[in-house]
Amino acid sequence: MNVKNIKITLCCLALCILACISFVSCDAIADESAPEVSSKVEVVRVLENIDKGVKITNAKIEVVSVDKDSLPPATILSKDEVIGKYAKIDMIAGDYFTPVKITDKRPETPSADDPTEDDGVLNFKDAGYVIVSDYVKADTGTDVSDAIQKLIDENPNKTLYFPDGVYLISKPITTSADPSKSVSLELSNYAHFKPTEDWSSEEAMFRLGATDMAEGIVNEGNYYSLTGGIIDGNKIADAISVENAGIVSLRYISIKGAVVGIHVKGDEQGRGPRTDIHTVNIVGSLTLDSIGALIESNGNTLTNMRIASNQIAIKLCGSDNFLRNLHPLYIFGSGFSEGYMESVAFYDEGTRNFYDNCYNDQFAIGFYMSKDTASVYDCCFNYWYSPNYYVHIGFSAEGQFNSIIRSTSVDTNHASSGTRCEFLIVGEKGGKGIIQAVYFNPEQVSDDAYLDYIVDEPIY
Amino acid sequence: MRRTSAKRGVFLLISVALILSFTLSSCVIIKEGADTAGTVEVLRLTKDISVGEKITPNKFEKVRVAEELVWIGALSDADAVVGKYSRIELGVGDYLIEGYLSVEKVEENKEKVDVDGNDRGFSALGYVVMTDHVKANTGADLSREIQKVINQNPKSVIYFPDGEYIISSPIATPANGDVSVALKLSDNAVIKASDDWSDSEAMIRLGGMNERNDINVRGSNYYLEGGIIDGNGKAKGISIDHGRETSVRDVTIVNTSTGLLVKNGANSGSSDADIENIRIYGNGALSSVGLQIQGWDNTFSNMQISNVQIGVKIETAANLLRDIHVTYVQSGKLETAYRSSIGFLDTGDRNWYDNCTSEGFSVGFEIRSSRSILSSCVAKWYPDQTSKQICIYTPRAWGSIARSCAAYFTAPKENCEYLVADQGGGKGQIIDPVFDETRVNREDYKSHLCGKVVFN
Repeated sequence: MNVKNIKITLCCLALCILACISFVSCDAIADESAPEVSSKVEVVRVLENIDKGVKITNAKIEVVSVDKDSLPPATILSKDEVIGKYAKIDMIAGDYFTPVKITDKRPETPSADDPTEDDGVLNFKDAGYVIVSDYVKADTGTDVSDAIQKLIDENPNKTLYFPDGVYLISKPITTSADPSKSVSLELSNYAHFKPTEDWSSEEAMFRLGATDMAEGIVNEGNYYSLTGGIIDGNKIADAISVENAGIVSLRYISIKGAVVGIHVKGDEQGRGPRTDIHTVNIVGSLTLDSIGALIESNGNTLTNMRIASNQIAIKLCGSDNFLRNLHPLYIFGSGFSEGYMESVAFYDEGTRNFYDNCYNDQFAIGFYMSKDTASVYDCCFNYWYSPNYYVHIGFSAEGQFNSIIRSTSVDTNHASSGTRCEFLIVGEKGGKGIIQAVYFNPEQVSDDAYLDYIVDEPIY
Repeated sequence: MRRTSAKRGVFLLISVALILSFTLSSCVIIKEGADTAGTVEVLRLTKDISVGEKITPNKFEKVRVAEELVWIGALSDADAVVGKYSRIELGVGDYLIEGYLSVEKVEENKEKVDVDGNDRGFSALGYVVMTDHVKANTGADLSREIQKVINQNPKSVIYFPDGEYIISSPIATPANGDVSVALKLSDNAVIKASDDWSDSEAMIRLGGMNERNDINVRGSNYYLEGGIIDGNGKAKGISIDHGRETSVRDVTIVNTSTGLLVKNGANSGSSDADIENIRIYGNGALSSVGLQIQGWDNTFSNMQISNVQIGVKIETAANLLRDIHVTYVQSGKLETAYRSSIGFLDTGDRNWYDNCTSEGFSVGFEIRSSRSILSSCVAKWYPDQTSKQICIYTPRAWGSIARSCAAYFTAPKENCEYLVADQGGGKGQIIDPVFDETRVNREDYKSHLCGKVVFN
């Protein structure tokens, strides 16, 4: 058996040696059979890929001897003419240099101390992105507030992109309202911002337009945004505030555990930033002071939002706001539901606000109107899935009723459980409000305030 | 000599033993196969496990469960898990898959898998780039490879560059926010069902594994965005199986039997899904449906649906449809097929339609129950269509609201109706409808009319 094994081993070895010899011979034959070059020239070319904007160093190039006729016109031959210059386009190994491909001046980089100058420029950088992970490490368990703030301050009018990971911050991140300094922040879906355990600020984790008060809508820098990611208040912090000025877009954001999810600030006249909020889902802190979105300025739009675990889902203090496809969901919790009777899905302290397809899911009061409110509620929906606490009110007017309610439903799945389910209650009789084409069961209602305003029979 | 004989004896014994054991084991396999068809053995947790906790034998059990219930990639070999550490929080009943485990102990907040170190292009954004793991445009079946990438990269955005990705079985994503993924497809990334596709489930099953119903989990909001899902004439496109607040946006779905299916949701039936900017082109079969809704509380905005027998089929309530345009493709279809075509079929109730258009379907809106609202909706037909044209049909009494809804008929008068209610009565309203009263026969709408009929 041993002898046989030795024989097999020897055979294998012989075959390997034979293969090697053949390989080497082939190369030799190939070299010998190559046509003789009559006019060779030495030329510099790319040794390893050089991306647009990267400085050309000796390590990235090589000098080779090639057939002169095979070179493209205007090819640079000497390596001295390319070293120290910058690539104007992406170049790959084997490329020759021509004057149009290189430049003396380094293209503008996102930051003065770009750490990735020579390790491969990224496509998104070319598009103007500042990729935060190039400068700040996520998932370290350490506070990165200062590092992120520095990056924002050093990159005016840029989009900062935050890849997936957990970013711990101990203080608010602020951006500028000055159009020459504003930035947009774009978070990957799992870029997760979380306050440190010692968070003590009364302000939100992200304060957009918080510095450098500026007015106007003329400059490009007036328009900035926060997109994507998870803003996690961890039940101790507010998530996002929009402060001094700007036309601001908030979109595709997942807000969790925030005491106040979104706070658009404004003065008593409703002056402040205008914000378009689109596809933002909020889960609150399940505390009695929690508000999903607090909108103090005028003229904002809120579209496609799901809001849960708050005492008040949406609170409007200004006017001329437009709310569409909003779905607040009341969630019962111990130590929280004691305040159920005061819970409100849509709390309107302003006026001329427009609600379209807004859906109160289980809050004790669906839509609350202050004494000054004259708003429009169209195709809205109130639904109570649980008989808890036995009082459900679709619309509640603090004073007289001066709004329009149209094609709206007030309904419950436990009509026979003795639950009080009101369509409308008013603080004071009178007012010029209108109720038209609505769904509710009059037999389930004990307050007949609606009768003064309804123009046709309720449908049930 | 005696030693040789002894060796031969031992050899003989071993051979006999091997033959016997092989025969016996074959019998066992056959016996097991007879008892366990359609089932597989997997490891299932008997205790909750936190991030970084070591997996020990007393924390799981080996169970045999129906194949369709098992998460794709679930492990069955105890040796492959014992001694490893959990990268995420897991609960009793969870299965173990490779992506959840780490050889080295991980700290909380460090659970993310390292993406390919070659940070270029989209991977620079932290995306897991699918083509770093599988080869597109090969014509080969990539189902298992793609599923593996999903399983091994919890809490990641997985990016599909342009190219064709063939799959022969459904791809599932986790509903549990602790391990969920977001799928981001480039505009020309095509995920296509293979020629031998036979699965009754959809090609992309969002929340199709790791069931969980918890919006508090950081990572519960995930999405499918972009690209083209090609059913190859036979498969369903996308389904939302479990989880909540799932987002599907900017997707094109083609050649599907059902384009998008929202199943009965995790939260007592509520799916809470938000769907926007979707284009669906069905396979044109008599059973084809563009959008099928079996869960509650969803929103659908900006959709174009065509080449289906039923544009939108709703089986539940409290859904919102806004700016949905369904188009019937008549070419090659029999007249009998046309006569049973429906733009919007609502077998639930209390659904809101705003600016929805049915184009070319025999029945625009079939509202079988009540308390729905149609606002600024339209039913219209092509000039060459002469058969049955009904804007709104209900087999019951009319109990919904149709407000400023328009109908543009093209058939002879005897085939056109604005409202057909098979039963009289009902408190529903037809408010300010827009249509030519001289083009219809029945007067069902008159007993529900509020305002006036408008027509130029």
